Amino acid sequence: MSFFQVTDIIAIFPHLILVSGALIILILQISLPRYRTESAFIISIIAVTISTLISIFGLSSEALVSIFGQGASGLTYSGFLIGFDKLSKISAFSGHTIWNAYSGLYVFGILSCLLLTLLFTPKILKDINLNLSEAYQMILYTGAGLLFFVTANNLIMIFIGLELASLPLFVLAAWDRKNKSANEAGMKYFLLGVFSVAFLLLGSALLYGASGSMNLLDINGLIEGTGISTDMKRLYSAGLILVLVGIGFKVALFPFHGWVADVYEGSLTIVTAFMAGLVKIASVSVFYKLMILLGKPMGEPIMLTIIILSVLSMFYGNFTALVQTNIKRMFAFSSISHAGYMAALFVIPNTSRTGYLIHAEASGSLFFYAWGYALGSILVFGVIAYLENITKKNNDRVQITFEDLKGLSKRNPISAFLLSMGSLSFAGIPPLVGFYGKFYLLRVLFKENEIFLALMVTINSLIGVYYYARVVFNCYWDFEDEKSEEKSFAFKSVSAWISGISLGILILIIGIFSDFIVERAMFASLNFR
Amino acid sequence: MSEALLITAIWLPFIGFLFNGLFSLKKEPISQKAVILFGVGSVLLSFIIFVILTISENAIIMSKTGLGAHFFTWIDVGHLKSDFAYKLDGLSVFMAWIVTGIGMLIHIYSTGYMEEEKPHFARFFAYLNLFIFAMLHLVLGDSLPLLFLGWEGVGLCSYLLIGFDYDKDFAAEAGKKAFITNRIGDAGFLIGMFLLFQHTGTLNYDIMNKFFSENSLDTSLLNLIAICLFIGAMGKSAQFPLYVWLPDAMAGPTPVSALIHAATMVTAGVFMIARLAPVFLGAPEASTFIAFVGGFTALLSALIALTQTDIKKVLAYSTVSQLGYMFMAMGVGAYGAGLFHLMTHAFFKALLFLGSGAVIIALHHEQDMRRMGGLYKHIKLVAILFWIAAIAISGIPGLSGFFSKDMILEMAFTYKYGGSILFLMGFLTAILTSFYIFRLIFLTFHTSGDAVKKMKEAIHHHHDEHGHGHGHHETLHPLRWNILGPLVILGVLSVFGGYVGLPHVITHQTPGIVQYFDKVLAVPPTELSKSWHNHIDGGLAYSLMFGSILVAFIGLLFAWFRYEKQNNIPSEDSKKRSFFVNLSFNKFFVDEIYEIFLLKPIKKLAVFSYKVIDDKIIDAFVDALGKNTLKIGSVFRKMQTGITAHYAFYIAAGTLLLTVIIYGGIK
Repeated sequence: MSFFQVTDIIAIFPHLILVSGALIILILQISLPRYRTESAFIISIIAVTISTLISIFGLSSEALVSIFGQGASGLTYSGFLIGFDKLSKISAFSGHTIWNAYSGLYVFGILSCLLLTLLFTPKILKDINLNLSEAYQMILYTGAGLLFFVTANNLIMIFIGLELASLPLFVLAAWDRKNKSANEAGMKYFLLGVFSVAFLLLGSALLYGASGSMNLLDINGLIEGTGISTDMKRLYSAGLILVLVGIGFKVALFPFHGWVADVYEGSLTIVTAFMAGLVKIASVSVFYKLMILLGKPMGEPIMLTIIILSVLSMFYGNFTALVQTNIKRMFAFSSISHAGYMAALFVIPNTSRTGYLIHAEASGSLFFYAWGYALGSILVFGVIAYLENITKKNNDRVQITFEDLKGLSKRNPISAFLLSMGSLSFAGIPPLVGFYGKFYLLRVLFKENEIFLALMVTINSLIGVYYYARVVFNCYWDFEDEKSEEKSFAFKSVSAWISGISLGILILIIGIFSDFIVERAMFASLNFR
Repeated sequence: MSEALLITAIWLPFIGFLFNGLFSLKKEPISQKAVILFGVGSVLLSFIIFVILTISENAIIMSKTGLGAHFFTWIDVGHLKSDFAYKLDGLSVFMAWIVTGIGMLIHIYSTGYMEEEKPHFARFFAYLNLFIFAMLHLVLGDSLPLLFLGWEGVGLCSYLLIGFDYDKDFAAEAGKKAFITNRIGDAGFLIGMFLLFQHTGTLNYDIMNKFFSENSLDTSLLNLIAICLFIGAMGKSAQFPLYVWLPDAMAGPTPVSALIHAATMVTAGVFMIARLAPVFLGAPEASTFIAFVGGFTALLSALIALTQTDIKKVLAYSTVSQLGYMFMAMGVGAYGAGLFHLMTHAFFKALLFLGSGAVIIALHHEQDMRRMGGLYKHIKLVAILFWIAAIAISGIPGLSGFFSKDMILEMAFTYKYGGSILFLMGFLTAILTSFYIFRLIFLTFHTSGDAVKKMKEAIHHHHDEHGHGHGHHETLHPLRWNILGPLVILGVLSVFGGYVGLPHVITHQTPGIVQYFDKVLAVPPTELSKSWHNHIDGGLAYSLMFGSILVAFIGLLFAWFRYEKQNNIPSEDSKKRSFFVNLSFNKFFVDEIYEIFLLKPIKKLAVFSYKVIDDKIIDAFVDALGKNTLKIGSVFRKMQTGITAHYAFYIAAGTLLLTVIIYGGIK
């Protein structure tokens, strides 16, 4: 028996590609005398593209055999488009990491978002004269960390994945090192991140104490089998609560939201896109998985806490977003409210009124919502990043306010269009993806008879329209304070154009194919174990 | 293959619409030849395809289900399935011929009529093409939603074309009036459609026919559905009390009046009744209602037509009146007769409108008959064709109108439920029809007056007033082949179109057209409505026929006597007119009655809703809601202190709170 088995490698194949990319950059940087930063970007793009393609199309057993030799015969790596129907599962590292359709779904979601965000990055970094290879390494590590996070089947692996993703992000948050608020953001993110991870760790320890295992499936097996003994129940509950707090921090649920506004605002906006898009999609996935696998013994009380967290997040995020003047802060608070909407679905695993299929449906809608939200965030923050670039004064980054948006459609029609589109998608205006996300979410809530939550989601969507519409309104109609600047086009870089346009198209058309995506996601979610 | 041809024929006009529509947006008008190529060519081609299909697929088309063609799925929600699927059967092929055939003639005519409207030439043809496209959906769709789509589409085109000269207030107003009045009818139509869906579970004709052949609905329910659907027909086909838009619709260019407001669109209601024969034939009370509304409309608008002086207004009221005849026929269950009259009316009324258009264009847009007269000398061909159309509409034997009108009157006479009253109304209308149409002819083409002289006088008058003028208006505008050609074809059709329905008394068998519709409609109307009619023997039928011939000649003679012999040109001064003439001239004050009893109260209600309900109550409430929401926002905002320790405290406190909740809940 060798130390590594082929299955281990296959299960984490996309993760490995990302890490290898980062390492190649590191080696080239040290060894090549005439090394240029552009190659870091190119290598990272190649790495992310390959792993995204694998996550979409999968690897057939023939392909695996040709890469790994005979040891891989009989295995396939299923992709989002091909092979999800086989319900295959690859367990690796003695069950620490599991690739199954559910985690595969989010691998695809994360990688697609990573690719689109990465395309925005180089021009932004160049303009602040900090286009260093290390940034791309950090980005790749973050991506790999998030992939480990979502494929984890062990509390320790969850912790490691989260840390692998967070530590580079702390660095990235403060990347704009000459900027005071970026430093502040990095520091705050670090302090609070470490603080919350302590909760996660302590929770894991307590769960271990209560169940005797760190492995999620083992704990789940115990619950389904003999059940948690009564005297261990308090310990178990405390453990799970602490773990959920640790992840809730990343999801940005109220009251673990404190960092969101300050960090989103202070960091380089393109880093904000990472946090809002990628981190959120990964952490809701794990949150949901924990609810499905570990939530059962908690029964009614955990549902109540989820409802409280969800509703408070919605209201807090929306009400606070209403009074913001800074666009980035506004979107930061709105991301809290979106966390609340998604959290509404976290109650479904514990209702179990209509059985297994509704879990799959809830999970499918969660993926669709989170993915749509992530795409929207990347678009919005990407555009804002480039707008900041245009308006910056004395080489200092400035914050974009609603005032600055006035007349944008005249000065910079494409940015205005994309920004408005992202904003309207968040508001849930058909036919954009955000509308379909809300539609599926509400459908599940109604099916499951969670009328209260559905009502709360509806009321909050209504409040949200006010500030989302303000973005559009300022861009297109409010010309009172017209600025006499010459016309410009937002993206002065080819890669950013590619990303901006493809995000625009995706947000416009995904809704039309929502049935297809949600069905795949549902099917994938039949396979948690 | 034939499916593809059918779809092509329906969508061809749409290509014309896209081409002309897009190029009409250009500031520089494009060449008229290109517009004609696409605008007229598409409709011509479509007509040719229908001819080919009728010949090559005759057996399939004449079967009960007809030739079906599925284009694409449109709506698929729950139980409601509706596709862009078409059905070319005996009824729809009949309508498709009329729509594309007469449509094509009028397109050709329009190339002459609209020649001088250079900047709007492409826009005009874009609308006309869109109209044909929508009308083909109305008649060829295989389900009610598609019919409704066409129904609304032709309504839209009608609105656009009435208001074609949108910079003139009266045209814009007339367009609005047509649209709104039609919407009132549509509300009824929609309710009828919903009821049908609720009780039959489908809106597809074939499935619905199958349903009706196997099940039967409650008669009172069918009556309700039929009345609701008929309210829709009242709007679209201008029946009392919703007819008021049609006379105003004459603000549109004359080819539009001929195509939309005489030959095709306004007959949509009649078509709809024939299409839903199982519903209407199962609803005897509603049918009686339809017959009486039709009869009343026929009489009322014929009375109004007596005194109108605008040549197009006379024809408009005449159209309303003739549509009344059709509904009378449909109401008494004589579907064959109603559709027969639809066809003959399409011929002679299109001819009358196009002829009047020729007169109008020859006189450089003069429409007032008081300033016409003596035109026979100048435009003989138009005058002769006008005479043919007038003979046809007045019911003088030998021409098309005689056969169809006589058939309707006979069926009305034998109707068991108030047939004699219906017959009386129809009979009176026949006298009036003959009178007003010959009045129009004498005033326009004969009498001692001379239109050309009057025109010149008007120009000199104009000179005196303004000191300048347009010298080229001294002579008649020449009429070219593209105006005269369609007139001649329609003239031929008006003469011979009636021979498909020779009456029973002559041939001693059921008229051909009635046999045809008994065969191709979903249910045979003659058989189902047999119990609604008394038997009539040959002698009585003959005397009825002679009666209606007699009244046609009486009307002719009376008109001749009053306008040709006495040269009694209508006065412009209302004081010189008698009470009854004034009543008719002012259209029985129907518009004014609507204004006082409907519009004013509605406007008052609207102002009340706006000023009180909206401003004082709803707005205040919503404003307060918004303001307070923002206030809550600024309170919440205070949580965001920017101090890291506070945030950490929130996390810790939140965790504590959650733990308390969980521990409280655990047993």
